[in-house]
Amino acid sequence: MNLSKLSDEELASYMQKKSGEGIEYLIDRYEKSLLRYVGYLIKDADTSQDVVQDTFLAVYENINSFDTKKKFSSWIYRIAHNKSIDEIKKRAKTITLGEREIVDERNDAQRIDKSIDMIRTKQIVGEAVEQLSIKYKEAIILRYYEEKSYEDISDICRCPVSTVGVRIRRALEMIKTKINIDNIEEYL
Amino acid sequence: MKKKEKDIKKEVLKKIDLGEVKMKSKAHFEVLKVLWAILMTASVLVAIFLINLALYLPKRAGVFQGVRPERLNVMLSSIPWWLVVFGAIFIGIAVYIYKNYEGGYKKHLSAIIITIAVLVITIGGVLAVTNINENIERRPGMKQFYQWNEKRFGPPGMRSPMHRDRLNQKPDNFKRF
Repeated sequence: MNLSKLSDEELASYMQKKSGEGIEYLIDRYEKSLLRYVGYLIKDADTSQDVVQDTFLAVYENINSFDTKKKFSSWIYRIAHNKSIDEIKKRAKTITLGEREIVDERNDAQRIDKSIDMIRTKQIVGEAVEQLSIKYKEAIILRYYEEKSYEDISDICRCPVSTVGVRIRRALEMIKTKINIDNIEEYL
Repeated sequence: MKKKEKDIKKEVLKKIDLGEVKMKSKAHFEVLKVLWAILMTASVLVAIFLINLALYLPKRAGVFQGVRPERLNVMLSSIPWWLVVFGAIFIGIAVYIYKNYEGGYKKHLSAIIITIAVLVITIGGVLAVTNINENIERRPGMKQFYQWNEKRFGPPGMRSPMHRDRLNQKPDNFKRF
């Protein structure tokens, strides 16, 4: 059976039947995106790696609790969310999202030759996002950086879809108030 | 100092191979699911019973006979509020379980609280006016349970004849036409 061709949900179902066989395929699929997501929340590259590793171990441990009719990506992001929140509670020191953004955006800028003003604005917006409280920051990260739907964010954050909308709207308003830029979504 | 980038896949597979992480069985999660469902249902049932008792005890003492606005204070003071508080605690437990373990996170907390509270108060109220409490009381040991509740939480009328007199007292401005 070619496991690489299975969907995430089919792979999870296969893992349930075969005592966890096939987890390496899930790691290949999610390692990068989870590292990025957890990195935005925790702001420490080393700890992010540990959190993502714990996330995959928790996936293996709890795969039998996953309902294969539901979306696997929301489930794994939920685990990563919980692990990150636990880590944030434990930690006091953080590195800024801005640093990561500068590096990412420098590369982007070289590749797509965008103006330096755009990068600076993005950096300012990134710093404003960084200053938001965790529930607003997470909503913005999942929506604009991870490009998740409202429904997925609702499953990851365990809140009603309407609450997701309210959080994103409020977060954008807070950013606008802080940096006084109108079309904020362009810079996210 | 930044650590070397780690090979997450290798680390995860190593821990699994060494048996440091064990996969939990399907039965484990099924049992947990059933336990949460039982706990939630039990909380709702206990809340219903307590609200029923809170309304039944004053009713049995005759407080609710001849409901008149001028007797509202006496009627309210006759409700065993401690039973209502305990009922609210069990409603809280049921709401918490539903919101966190039974997939209720998609619904607003206020909507869940209102729905469960209305359900509990309605069913508790209906039970209080039926003769179900009399039937329960006839069962072995239950008479003592009702008497204990009556003594502890029941309307003061059940404890002091003065209150009973107050209940039957005609209001000061009562006039017979």
